[in-house]
Amino acid sequence: MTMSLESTGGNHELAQEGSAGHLARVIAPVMALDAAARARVLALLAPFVVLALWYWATLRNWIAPQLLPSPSVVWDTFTQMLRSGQITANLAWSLRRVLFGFGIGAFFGLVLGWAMGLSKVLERLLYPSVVAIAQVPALGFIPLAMMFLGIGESLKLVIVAKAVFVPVLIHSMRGVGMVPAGYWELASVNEHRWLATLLRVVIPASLYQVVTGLRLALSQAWLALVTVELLASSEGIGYVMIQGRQLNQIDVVLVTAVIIGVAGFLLDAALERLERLLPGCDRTSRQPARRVRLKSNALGLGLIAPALFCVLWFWASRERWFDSRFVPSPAQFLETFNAQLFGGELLTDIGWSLQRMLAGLLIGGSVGIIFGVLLGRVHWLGSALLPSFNAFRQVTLIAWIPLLTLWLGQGEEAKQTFIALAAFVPVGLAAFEGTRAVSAANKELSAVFCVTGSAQLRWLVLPSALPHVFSGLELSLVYAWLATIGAEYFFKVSPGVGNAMIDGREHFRMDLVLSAVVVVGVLGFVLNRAVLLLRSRLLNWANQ
Amino acid sequence: MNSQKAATTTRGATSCRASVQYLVVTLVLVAFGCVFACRRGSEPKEDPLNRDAAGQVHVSAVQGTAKAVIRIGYPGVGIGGRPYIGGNIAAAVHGKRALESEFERDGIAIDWSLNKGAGPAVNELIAGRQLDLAYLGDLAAIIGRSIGLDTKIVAAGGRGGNLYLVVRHNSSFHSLNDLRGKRVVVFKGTALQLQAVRILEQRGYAESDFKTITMDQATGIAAILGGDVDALWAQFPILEYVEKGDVRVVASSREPAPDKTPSATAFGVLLATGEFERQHADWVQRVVSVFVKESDWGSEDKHRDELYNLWSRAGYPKVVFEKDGHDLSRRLSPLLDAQFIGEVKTGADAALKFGLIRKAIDVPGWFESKYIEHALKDLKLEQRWFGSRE
Repeated sequence: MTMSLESTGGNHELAQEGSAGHLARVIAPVMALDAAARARVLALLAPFVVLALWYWATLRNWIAPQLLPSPSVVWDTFTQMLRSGQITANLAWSLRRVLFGFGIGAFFGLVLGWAMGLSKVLERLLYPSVVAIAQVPALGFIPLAMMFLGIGESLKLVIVAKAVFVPVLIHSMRGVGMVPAGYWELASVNEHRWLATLLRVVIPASLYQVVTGLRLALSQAWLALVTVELLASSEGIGYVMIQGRQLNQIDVVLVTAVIIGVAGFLLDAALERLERLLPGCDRTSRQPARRVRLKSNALGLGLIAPALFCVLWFWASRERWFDSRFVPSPAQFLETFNAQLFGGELLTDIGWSLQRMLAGLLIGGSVGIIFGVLLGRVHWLGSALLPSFNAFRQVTLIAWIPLLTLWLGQGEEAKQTFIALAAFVPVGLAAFEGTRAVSAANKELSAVFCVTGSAQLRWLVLPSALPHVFSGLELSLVYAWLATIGAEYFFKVSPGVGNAMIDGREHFRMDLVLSAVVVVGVLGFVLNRAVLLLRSRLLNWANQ
Repeated sequence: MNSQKAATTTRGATSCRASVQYLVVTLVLVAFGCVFACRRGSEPKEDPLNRDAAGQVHVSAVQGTAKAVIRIGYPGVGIGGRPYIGGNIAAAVHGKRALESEFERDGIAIDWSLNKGAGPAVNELIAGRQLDLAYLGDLAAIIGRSIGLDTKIVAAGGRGGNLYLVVRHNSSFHSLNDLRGKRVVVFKGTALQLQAVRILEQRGYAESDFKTITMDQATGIAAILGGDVDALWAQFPILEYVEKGDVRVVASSREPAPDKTPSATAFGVLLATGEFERQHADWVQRVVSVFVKESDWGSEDKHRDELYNLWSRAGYPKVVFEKDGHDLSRRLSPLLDAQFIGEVKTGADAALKFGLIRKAIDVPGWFESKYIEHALKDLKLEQRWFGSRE
């Protein structure tokens, strides 16, 4: 979750850049206008075709109405739900929760992020812990939080705040790190006090990164909220969806899926507007976010915080501050963890989850690369499909679950498809960006040397797309891992780490839940490292 | 990434070639790994059924397409995902592997699909044409009918199911009135919800008087024990915790409504999909006969202990069945008699009234009673159960 949807932001520019690249080859401005208009027409074509196909399919009874009701039925349901106030009331609940949770998470994220950015000691002390926490997706966090907080508003606020906290913290920390050295000098020359430095230098200079972090955080907060509403709530848009699913009302599910998507899109668009209003931000210099590299000496300090936590935990359980059913003692936890890992089912669970995830990642990733390159290379296809793809991206992952169970059942196929869907989007987007990112100079060069077709793809497009693809892969790994846990929650019971969590909760075994959470975090971390390693091996030439 | 603009040198090209090769090799390796993993994974197909502590594999998974298979869905799993079920006739048939032995000689496999997602999940499977037969509780079956799933009721799956509304033993809630506006768990879209709203209506309440949260029963029990919610609607499994004194019953279907009418109870049905019923009427007949035979066995009071043992393999202590108070020959009656048809009608009307379905269903046309009648005659069990005849 540390990693960002940087690409989200770059989207609009990309679309423009893409068509600009296209336009560059068209000389006359009149023709250029035509091309833009053509692009717009093409963009409308895709949704129109989908709608027409949908309508036609239901009209001819190709698909059972229990699987896919006709567009008119869905529209009727929508207007009816709108009139009855069901949509507005529940959406208001959800938005209120998101905004409150967002406020709390963003506040703490900002304060701690700036503090960690300003103080190297603090950074070294806390950053490894933050990274560790970040590895546990919100979904994995829910059973644990539920055991502590029960099912109420506080659960939702904490889950949302956690989803917001991490990206905001990391971006604001990075923002401070990016303040040019000259600014600091200027501040010291002007003999600014501590507060003045903060207000006049640190905050303004890191603002751009902060807003990027906020925007990313908001989309994750929305996802996390819908998830928690699906699992435990009595109102909110996620609740309407799960109610529709329980009563097998697929039209209600479709309506809520679209509403969740549109709401997510509007929230994102609002922050994007804010981003544009920011003064003095050089939007063109946006760089793909680099992670702060952990140095080995930093790790020593970084161990202090977890160590302190362990001491506190040990102390608390010894002094019986908490009911041992809620907070197992470290010894108890270690024993369970050990027994589960080496004697119990946890290892089997890990194997199943990893296998599921890799299969999904492989399918989604390869389809994503092909899709992205195709969209990037074939311009008319790009302008026809890109806007629809962007709309598709906005439909929260979770919204696909009821639809997938209807279409593919509850077994492994459905799970892997769900994971593949999660992995597909970031890789597809990144491959598209990468393909379009071939520099004009290189293009000219290849034209001069008559490098075309597959040779061009291999020597020009692929090398310049690879860094982007890897950014996308890194992100899709996070999504795929999240989706794996989600699939194990929402589809048929089968072995897996996510299932181990649910089992633990059902049996009221906090130590089991905790073991599974740790495994989820560690595996997420290891997978991420693996991709980073692969990337640095593969792309060492690009970094020179 | 920024420097790449300038990097069109031969050096860049060679190392690029190296990296492309690297990528290809990695992808091939990953592909191999996945193929290997999937092959290994495909062996225990319906995995939860293989990893149970009890160790026995009790469900035949389908291997290949050459072998004929009957796919039967059930709305629930045992505690902690155990591949056993309890509390009704389907559980007895499943636990005794009665269908498996009936069809074994013809090489026909039985594929039981036990769904944690309960009735709604089974309906999804029926809609996706992934089941031939299904055992379902009342509401899920009614919903399936109302959304246009093509099914026939071929046997009653039991009746008189009880439901309990429980709170934590030390809570301050003592009546339905105390629970107004509180968080109450009910598993929506299942028989539990329909029975809960009917019980509430009999006592002058509506579902909307409470903050209802949907959870499957196992999660709901964890939630009430953990204090996450205020009250829970649950079937017999909760009696384990009532016995232990962890929770207390506030309302149940076992006491009559204030106006002395009996409280609403739940029923179950055995459904065959229309397609399966048309193509394999002989198989449907054999399945129904097996159900009738097992109902006959289970209705016998001398088998009560054995039956409860069978049911408790799903993870419930036997005491829950004893405390649930079963008149077995009434509860397990497979008859599609007038009383049962009446119950289905009442249930369907209630579902429509409470907005759980949006279209009224045709109840009489839903029954296909020729199988049960034939089975009763065949097994000479016409007088076995006291059914009200039309």
